[in-house]
Amino acid sequence: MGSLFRSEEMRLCQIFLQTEAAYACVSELGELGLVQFKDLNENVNAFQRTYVSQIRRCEEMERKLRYTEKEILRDKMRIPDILDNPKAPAPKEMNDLEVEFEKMDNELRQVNTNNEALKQNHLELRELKEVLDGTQTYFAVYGQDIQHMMNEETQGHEEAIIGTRSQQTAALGFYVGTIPREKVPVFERVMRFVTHGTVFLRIEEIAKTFEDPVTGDEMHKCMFLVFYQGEQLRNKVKKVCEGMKGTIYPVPESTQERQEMLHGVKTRIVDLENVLAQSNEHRKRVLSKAQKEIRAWTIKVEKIKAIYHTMNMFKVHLNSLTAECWFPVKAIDDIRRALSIGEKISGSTIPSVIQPMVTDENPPTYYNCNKFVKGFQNIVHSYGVSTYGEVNPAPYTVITFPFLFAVMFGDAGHGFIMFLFGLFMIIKEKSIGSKKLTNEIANTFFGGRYIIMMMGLFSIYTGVIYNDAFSRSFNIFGTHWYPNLTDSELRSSENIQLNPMFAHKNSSAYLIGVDPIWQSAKNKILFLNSLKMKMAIILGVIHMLFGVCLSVFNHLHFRSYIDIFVKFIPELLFLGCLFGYLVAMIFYKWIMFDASRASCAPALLIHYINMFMFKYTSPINGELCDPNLTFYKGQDTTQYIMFFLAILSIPVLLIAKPVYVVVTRRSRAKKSDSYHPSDPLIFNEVPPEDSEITLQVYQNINQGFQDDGHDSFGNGHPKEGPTNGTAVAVAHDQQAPAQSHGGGGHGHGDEETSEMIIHQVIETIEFCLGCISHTASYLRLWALSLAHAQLSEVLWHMVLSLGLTVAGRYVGGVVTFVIFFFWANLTVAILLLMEGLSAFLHTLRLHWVEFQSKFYEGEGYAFEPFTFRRILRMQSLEEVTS
Amino acid sequence: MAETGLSFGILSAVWAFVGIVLPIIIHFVMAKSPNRGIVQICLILTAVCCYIFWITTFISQLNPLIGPELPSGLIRMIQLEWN
Repeated sequence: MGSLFRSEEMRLCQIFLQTEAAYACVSELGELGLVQFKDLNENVNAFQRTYVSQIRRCEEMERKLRYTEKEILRDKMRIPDILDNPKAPAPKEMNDLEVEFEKMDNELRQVNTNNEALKQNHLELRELKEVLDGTQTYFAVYGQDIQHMMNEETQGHEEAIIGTRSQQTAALGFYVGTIPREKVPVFERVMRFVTHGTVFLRIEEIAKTFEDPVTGDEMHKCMFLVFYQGEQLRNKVKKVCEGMKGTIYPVPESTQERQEMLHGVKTRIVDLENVLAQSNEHRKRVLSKAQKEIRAWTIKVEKIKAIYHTMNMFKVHLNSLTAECWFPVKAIDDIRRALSIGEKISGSTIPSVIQPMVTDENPPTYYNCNKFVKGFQNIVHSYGVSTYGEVNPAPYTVITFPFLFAVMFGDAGHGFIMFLFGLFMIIKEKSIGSKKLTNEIANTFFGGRYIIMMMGLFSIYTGVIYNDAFSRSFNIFGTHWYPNLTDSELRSSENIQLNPMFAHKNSSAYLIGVDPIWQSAKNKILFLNSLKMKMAIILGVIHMLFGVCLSVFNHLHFRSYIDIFVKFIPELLFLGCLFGYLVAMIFYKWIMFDASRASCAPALLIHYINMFMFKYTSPINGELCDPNLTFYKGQDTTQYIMFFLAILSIPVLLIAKPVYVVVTRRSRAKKSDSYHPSDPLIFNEVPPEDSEITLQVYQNINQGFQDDGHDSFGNGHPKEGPTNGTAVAVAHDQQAPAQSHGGGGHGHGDEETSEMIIHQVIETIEFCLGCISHTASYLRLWALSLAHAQLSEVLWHMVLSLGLTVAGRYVGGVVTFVIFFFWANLTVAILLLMEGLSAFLHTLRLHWVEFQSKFYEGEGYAFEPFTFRRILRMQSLEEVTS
Repeated sequence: MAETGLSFGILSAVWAFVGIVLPIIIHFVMAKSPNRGIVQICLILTAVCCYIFWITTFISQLNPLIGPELPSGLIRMIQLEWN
């Protein structure tokens, strides 16, 4: 069974590290990924920890790397993934990295600011050019008229204006500028309102779009010409233009000057574009230099930060650090090797020391899974991580999960497609896995590729047994129904029901699966319902019995032998006598009753109900058979026995355990108050203070602390102390951690008797009622398989067969080709995806609730080792949440 | 009857091979591999599940109490083609 049967044995140890060697050792342990460190400085503020400054430096570097990464991605350059695994650099190299990042960061920022200024300039020049072109055209067309108007106006106003204003020579001037297209209507209205319609406004659209230097969006602009008269109007117009964020350009009045200006602007544009191109070149050069290295840099910086975060959890002494960690016992050699490599790298001469500790904490649960079992283990852990030492349901889930799924899915064709899909993902494992998919759903499918493949495989099998492939049956072995009807009988009615007495050879059946004749029968569902419902009950009862049997291993492991008699046996009796008997009756009826005695065939449901109501009617000789009569000799006796065995197990479940616990507690309290060191040390028990053994342990630990100043690490530990790796002197019998439910716990705050009784009552009720409701719950195996079969049949009859039944030799082919598209899409969407998801969910529920409630507690916590694997799988620095 | 016994025997032998003989073989072939245990569990469970599934379907059809209701034309075809 390997290590998956129950959780790996874990050990809590203290590691003493030299300060110089600490960094390298932690780096090596991170690469190994098998150690979970405990935070020894929990009550210390994050800002007061030892290595805060280093972490701050790391975050600075991260910030610069993030900026660079954003720039690289903005230019749509791809960041190549690296294949090898760069190790965390030594602290000295960190300084070099910092300097390099600083330089790169500064260069990039400078280039970017320059670029922005240049682009702004470029934008203005281009706008000016457009404006000049526009004015040129305008004046070319209307130039003469305007000159006239300007002269006329001058004269006219001289006569019209009275007062001080008449002294001014009203000159007709104009403003030219650009304004965003969206603002044009508002601009017009505001202008008209402010100037009371005394200015002449002309808007012309500019065809070309301009790029906004800051955001890079495209802007549409319009050119406006405002002709005004007089100083006041001029100011008003200017204010309106500025308010509406329009830019005014100084355009000279005469055509000649305008031409010169245009020429000048054009040359300046060309120059500016050259400069822009060069600046972009430089930026690309900087970025491509960074592009090659950035992934490696990111990983290195993340590793450094992780190492310092971990080192912050250690306790600091004069020139050493103490760490407390959990690790699986089997990994002790790897850990020692990692530590020695770390010491060699850092050039420290003093080896680090591993010392096991005694604790009353529950160790974390760890399973060393291969990639095949990992998916199923995740499914089990989603409900609850197994308690340390408990039986692991995952190895059985590997097969029962796909099997129960397949019972609900039950179609060979769909199963084949699912199998191929899973197989495809498995074969392309390496290439898809290294691509780091970003789509959440695709990731989920990829993570469950082994599960999908197994589900498909089993579905093919159940499809063969249900004789259902895309809702069609196959007659491979020869049907066992032999209709033998004469012509007249056949002509008598439209549909004829075959009589099994004449059309079926007794005690023979189709070799593998459901007989193909049922596919075309009108009462197919009647037969299949009976078969599938009974199948569901049979599978359910067997699954639950399996679960109850697994609980024996738990009882044995945790040394509560009383549980076997007080919990396991009554549970087994209850389940077996009631529901196991039902299963037996099902098989009995199938075997012993054939068509000749069809009227006598017992109605199992009625008999089952009568069993609980003690209603028995025996058959009387000579009278007609009836489904409600007892159908085997001694049925009433057997059923009475079954019933009472089951009923009697309930009070045993209810009362026996609390009574036993109370009695043993009282008897143990009567014994003398001494703790015998030879008793096996129960893991969750700390020996009382007056024991000499505890003193020894504490002495060891304290000595370790005191020896810091004297630097006696080189000599190993003080005299009494245990050396690396050997079991501490305390635990003589470290076979298995035992959880005693209140047994022998003096000085321990045990549950009170009343609490225990209540707990037991709840458990008993849960089990008994649960048995009944869970058995009925397994009927979903029938329900979903019926739904799937019917949906599949609907798709066939309503979609595909329309194409297949088209008359005409060649038309049918084309029609089928078209209809196949719809049929295939509907099959994949409804039957594969929707039904697959639904069956997956129901199977999950069956496992989590019906199966695991019989033996599983799931109150542990998972083993989360310090590892760099998460860093290697990171896509970008955006995923770093710290 | 003999046919039934034969079919029963063949199928039982197949699943017995998968569920009993193969794990024993694997026990020696994969003696060093860490995955030996899980492979054995998988084989045994597969054999048990699939065998139960098959034998339930088989036994339920041995002595049927009702027959299929078919269109008469189909019965004609069956009598012609299959029997």
